[in-house]
Amino acid sequence: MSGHHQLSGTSLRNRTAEAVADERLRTNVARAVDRFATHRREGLAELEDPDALRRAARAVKQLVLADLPGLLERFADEVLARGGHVCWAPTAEDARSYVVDVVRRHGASRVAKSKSMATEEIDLNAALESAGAQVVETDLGEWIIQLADETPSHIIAPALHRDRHQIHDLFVDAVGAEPALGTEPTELVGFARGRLREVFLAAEVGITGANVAVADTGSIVLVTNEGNGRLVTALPPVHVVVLGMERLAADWAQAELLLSLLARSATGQRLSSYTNIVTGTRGDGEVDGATELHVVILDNGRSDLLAGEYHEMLACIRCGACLNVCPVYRQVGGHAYGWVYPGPMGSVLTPLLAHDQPEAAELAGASTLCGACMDACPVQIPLQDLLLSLRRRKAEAAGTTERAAWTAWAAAWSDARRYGATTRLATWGRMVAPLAGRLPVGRSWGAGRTVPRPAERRFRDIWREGL
Amino acid sequence: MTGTEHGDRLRFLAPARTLLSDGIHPNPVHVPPPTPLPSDPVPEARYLNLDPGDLVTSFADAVAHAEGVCHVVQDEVPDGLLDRIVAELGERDGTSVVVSDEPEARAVGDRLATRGLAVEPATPATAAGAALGVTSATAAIAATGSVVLDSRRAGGRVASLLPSVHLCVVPVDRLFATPADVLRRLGSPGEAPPPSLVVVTGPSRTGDIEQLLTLGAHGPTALHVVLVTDGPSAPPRSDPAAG
Amino acid sequence: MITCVVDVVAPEVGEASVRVLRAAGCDVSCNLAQTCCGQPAWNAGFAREAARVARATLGALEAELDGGAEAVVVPAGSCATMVRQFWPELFDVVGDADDAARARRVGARTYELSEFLATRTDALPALRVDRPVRVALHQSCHMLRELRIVDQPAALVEAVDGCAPVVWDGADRCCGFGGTFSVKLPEASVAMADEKLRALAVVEPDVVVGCDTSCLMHLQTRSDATGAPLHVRHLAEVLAAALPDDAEARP
Repeated sequence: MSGHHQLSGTSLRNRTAEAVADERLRTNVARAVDRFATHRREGLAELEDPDALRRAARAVKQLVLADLPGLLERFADEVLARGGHVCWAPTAEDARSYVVDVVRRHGASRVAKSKSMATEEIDLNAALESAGAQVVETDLGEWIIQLADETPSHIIAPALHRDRHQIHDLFVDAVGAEPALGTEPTELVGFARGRLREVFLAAEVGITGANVAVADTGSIVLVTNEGNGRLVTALPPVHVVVLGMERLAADWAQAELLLSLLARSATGQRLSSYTNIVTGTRGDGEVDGATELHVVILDNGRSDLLAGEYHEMLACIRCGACLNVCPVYRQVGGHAYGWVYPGPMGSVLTPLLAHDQPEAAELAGASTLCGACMDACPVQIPLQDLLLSLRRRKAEAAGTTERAAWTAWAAAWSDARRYGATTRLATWGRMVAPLAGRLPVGRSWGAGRTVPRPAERRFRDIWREGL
Repeated sequence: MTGTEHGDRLRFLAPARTLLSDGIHPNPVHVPPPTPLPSDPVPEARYLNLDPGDLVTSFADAVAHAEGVCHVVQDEVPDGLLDRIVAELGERDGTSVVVSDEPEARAVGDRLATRGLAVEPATPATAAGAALGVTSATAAIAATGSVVLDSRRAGGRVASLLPSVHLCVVPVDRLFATPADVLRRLGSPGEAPPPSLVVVTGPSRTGDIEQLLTLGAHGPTALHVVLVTDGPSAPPRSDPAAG
Repeated sequence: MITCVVDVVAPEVGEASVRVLRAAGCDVSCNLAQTCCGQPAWNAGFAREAARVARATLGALEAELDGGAEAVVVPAGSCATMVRQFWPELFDVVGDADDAARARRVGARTYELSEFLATRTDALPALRVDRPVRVALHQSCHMLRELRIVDQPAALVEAVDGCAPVVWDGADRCCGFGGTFSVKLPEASVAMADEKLRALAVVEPDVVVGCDTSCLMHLQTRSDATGAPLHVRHLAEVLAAALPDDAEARP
């Protein structure tokens, strides 16, 4: 992915306003999320008591996080014992420089990538390209946005903002597809299959993320529908995994529970086409598989969240269920969130991880606190509470105008007499309503909505007079 | 042969250890469930589509649900089935076949060779040009219609990955009910996972073009699973005499 | 509990609520020392300011309960949620454990209007309207997902002879108000309202009914501005209009 995230230098308001004005985008997003959300409901309906499983998954994540340092050590020891290399990367730069070094040492110029949000978070592709490597994303949606120099719109369906005609035109313009190539999905996918097959066969290094890492056996699990995760780990001689430090399970019972919820929550499938469990390197007598494995364990701000108010955000399994039910995401799509992680989970993670970007704090406001995301989350992350915590954190740094407004409001409304006076003013100041159009708040409301009129007599007046 | 460690693990983990040592701030409004004891078993999903008394039918239905094709046969892969699959191949490009290093796969490969097809052991080079890959599986899973591929058994990964059609022959005595039955044993004594263990559930697919399901993204476009029973083929579900 | 929105912008909702509660045999009191539940500031992240305001209302409600009232009834789902779900955390966050305890006690006896009435449908007189009315129910987010009040509003609509709820797409999707969201991200807020209005246009209900004046006001002001005004009513108004003329027996 080589597009640029728009967080710095833009405002949430502008990004959302622009998105909302894009009819095609809204149609594409609504179609995608409705399908995912419906499939998710149908998929979960096949399980007996899915809520009990979600509660259990939340509990599993609690156990994992409480013991995270020990589990990471055990995981690392298992990887090392099987001949894999481990890099402990406290910062994004530590991770980038290690991976670039691996690629350089092999004199590699061709890198195939399977989808990994952690690698986008640390901007790995740009670093590899600066080091002279050609990086090709192999997940079809990620390849599409790479060719378009865009950023992902959705965790599971990165290119959902583009329809078949836009994709066709992109293939023609960016990689020389014949204009006669049809726009039927089978033709477009067939074209991509052919082109990317060459990439898999020629790549010298394969880079993936991991959905779950299992401490007991030093295994990493890669879940895909396309098969690119398998190809990237079967063919190139070197396999590099970039693993967020929190994505662990202690044992296979825990991992299996999480995997049983992941595909259903993301797409409604019982299991994705391929649940690829990689443990160490190519075995004796095997004709394929990487001969060299590197696991980069990435912190980049995650450990700061442990044990505190935002602790439960580390339970996220990146399924995208929250995006698919979010009424705000539905209207604005992923780019409006400005960074790697969109939707409700992105509104919480971005301010926490992208702490060097002051614009990130606004994202806590990209929500009406409707709670639909919490109901969908397979590990029951209390997203609403985390958003409120972030808003309190932001309020502490608030500018004087906003703080003054709330302080004045509180001073007036903390006492019934003063409340009465200010609201009575509103009732005989029905002339205030037309004026409201001149104030910023009034303009924001009034552009598209009529201004509600305060009543002649308030309820308390009616009550006093005898109701 | 141990791998090398880069970076300082203790320094990396120190901030986490410090924060966790003071206990975890529980969410006050949406309170988490009580922390399970390490000895409490992790609950397993129960699948409403699974008939524990008839795993074969559940499996066949689930394979179809995942856009695969399931053939339940007795004793061995019937000639008619092999002929049909070969005919289907003829419609795609090429008639070369690769087989994994599993006895069930090699046996099918031998029979295909007698039909005049070019059959070779699977390697990245041979599999890349092959129209059909034949493998067995270390397990099949009824609830999800999955087959589980073990690179140690198969001698590799590409037979089930590069050709457009994947034929997987698995005996019924390796049919398990749920993913938990297969996966939760990993890591227990004698159950070290192989270098690659892949749970395959249907052919390769993508929804990246307008969320429309399209098969055959990077992996096989078609998956045929042949479940070999050792008695009469499983009767249809509506048959009350079924077990 | 009146709620500031009903008090200032929609007192008819308060009046209707009182009428219906009395018709259900309740003796209704109203302590005018209350002001607001503090939710606007709480949702904006200004906890101290929210707590200052909430305390006034806490005191008023507590006084009624101490004086013998059995329950606090709130004609607004989001305010009922604030009192029952969020007040304890609000006071804990500002370091006020005593008020948090008082809030827990009050919250345990606080009910949203439809939630309360649904336990007393037997006490209500026969409800009917003269002409058949097709009702599109909007399910407000907080009461639906936090308080889990799912079926009660529809059950009450069905209890009115002549009223029937209609099924419509996205009935439980957020309307886009969200408090300060409506003015901080107005384009997204309006787009969310428009989606609801489009879904309503498909079923052409006689009236759109909900239990939260904020949501209803959001949909109404948008529909008025687009020149396709909707008939919008609070559930209390629908029930009050369906009461027989002699319904209120004043104690």
